[in-house]
Amino acid sequence: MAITQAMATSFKVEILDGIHNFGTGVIRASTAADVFKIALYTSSATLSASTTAYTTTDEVSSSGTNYTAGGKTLTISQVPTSSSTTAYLDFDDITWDSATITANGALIYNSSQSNKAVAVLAFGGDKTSTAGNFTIQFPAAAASTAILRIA
Amino acid sequence: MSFEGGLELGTVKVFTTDSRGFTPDEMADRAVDRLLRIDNRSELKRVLAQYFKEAQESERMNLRRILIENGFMNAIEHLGD
Repeated sequence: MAITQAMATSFKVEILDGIHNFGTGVIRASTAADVFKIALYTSSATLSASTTAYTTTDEVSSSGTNYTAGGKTLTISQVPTSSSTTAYLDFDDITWDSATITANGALIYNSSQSNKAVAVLAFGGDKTSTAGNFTIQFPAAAASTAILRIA
Repeated sequence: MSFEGGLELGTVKVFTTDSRGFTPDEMADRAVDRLLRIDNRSELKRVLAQYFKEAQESERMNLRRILIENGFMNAIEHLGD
């Protein structure tokens, strides 16, 4: 027999499922998944781990065409699951078509929870589409690559 | 005693085009990364269908652009979204 200190893998999945609530003031009126969105930002934006919520400041909507403020709703293609001891989830790729956009990064946020920030994505430079497709491809849904993981 | 772990963020890729949709080669490039890691039939079918749908949309975008450039504005309404 042996005891191995660990965070339960099932707990990691359940965190992503919103099962556990250590805080106060969280009200869940529905058992459905929250709505997560992704918004695009220009290089003028200041986004980091300190970002707490979606903002329109320096969003590409003011300069882009076929881009609406707030961005697009993400489709959860892999609900929270686990492999080995890592919990993860995945989103479908997202495309703005016939769009003229220059973006330097993006913000994933929870529009069901007061637009609270989830993750900041840095593209590593300006990415531009001109009357064409602007596509964000999410990494493969696996324990070592998925977009959101709890290892 | 301690143990390693933490919340991790994957890396996205951005693909863009100018005045056209994606070509079949570009679609294939995008698909490969995801398809290689899929190990069950239903997920493989779902992801493939998603890429085929995108390919259709890319071609529709190309067609819409050709119609606009040649003055067939009314025809665009029949293409749908």
